[in-house]
Amino acid sequence: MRCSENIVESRERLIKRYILKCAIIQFIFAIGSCIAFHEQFLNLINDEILGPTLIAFAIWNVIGIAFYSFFIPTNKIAHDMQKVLILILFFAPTISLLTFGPMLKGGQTFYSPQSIECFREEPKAKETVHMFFARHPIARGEPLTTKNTIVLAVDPQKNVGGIIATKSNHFGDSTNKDSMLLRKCIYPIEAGSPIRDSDIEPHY
Amino acid sequence: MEEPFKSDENLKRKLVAAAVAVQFGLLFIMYSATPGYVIPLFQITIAKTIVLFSLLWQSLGLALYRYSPIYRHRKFHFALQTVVLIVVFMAPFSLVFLIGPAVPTHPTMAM
Repeated sequence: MRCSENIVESRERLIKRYILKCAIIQFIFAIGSCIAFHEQFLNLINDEILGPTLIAFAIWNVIGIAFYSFFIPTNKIAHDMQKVLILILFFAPTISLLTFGPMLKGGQTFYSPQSIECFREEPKAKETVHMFFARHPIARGEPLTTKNTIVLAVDPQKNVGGIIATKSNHFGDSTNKDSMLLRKCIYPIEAGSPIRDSDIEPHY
Repeated sequence: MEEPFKSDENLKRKLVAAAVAVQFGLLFIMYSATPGYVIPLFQITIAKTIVLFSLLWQSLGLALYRYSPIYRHRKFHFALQTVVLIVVFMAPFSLVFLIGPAVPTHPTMAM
């Protein structure tokens, strides 16, 4: 009786060690993916389907680790089967998406990741203003959204004709008549190009 | 009567389950009460990246906490491990959704 208890305990320890290994590998995969395929990783995060799916998988992973003992009784399933179940249920979705996701999103052009830093920065020089730029290529007839457009701090001399971001036209309030949101493009705009008054409808 | 090792294990299991339940419960309540405060976390690239990594960091911490054995000084080690779990591994994700959306991310907000 005592011997079987010890076996169960040692199996529990092995399973816990296995889960720890999986969690470490998963974290290393995420860091590695972010560093090695930075642009594709940002594309993956920004994707309308894959981005939320990845976060949902990460949440599922946390909940899974917290509750795995309730879902998988330690003494009723064979030890190897437990390992497989834990891997398939909790770790495989996140790890596989982190591994193959950047490859899936490799073809799409995403505007320079540095722009995200600029997005958070305040203007440093007096002559710097905030202007609207295309984050992704925007097709003719497509409306401007917070996903395909970005505001950057730039030198106005180098971006003549670009629309300056102000309190009334900035994102977040599409009901405002001055808002840039949902204005349709008359011409296709390339990723990284400033959005000019002549490119959108209605004009200012 | 349960052995000390076993009772610690059960307490750890309950604590982990309770902490995660409280955390996600709070997130759900915040989302229900003020969706506009929470939604930007899942729209802005930097916020999404931070959410993802804080979640993975938390899962690493949970796995480490469940694995870490307690040999001597039971109460002290138990308390230490629990504090490390909460402060180091669980706090980042909690802070992300509690105060993250309040951090200005748009340059025009400062105008």
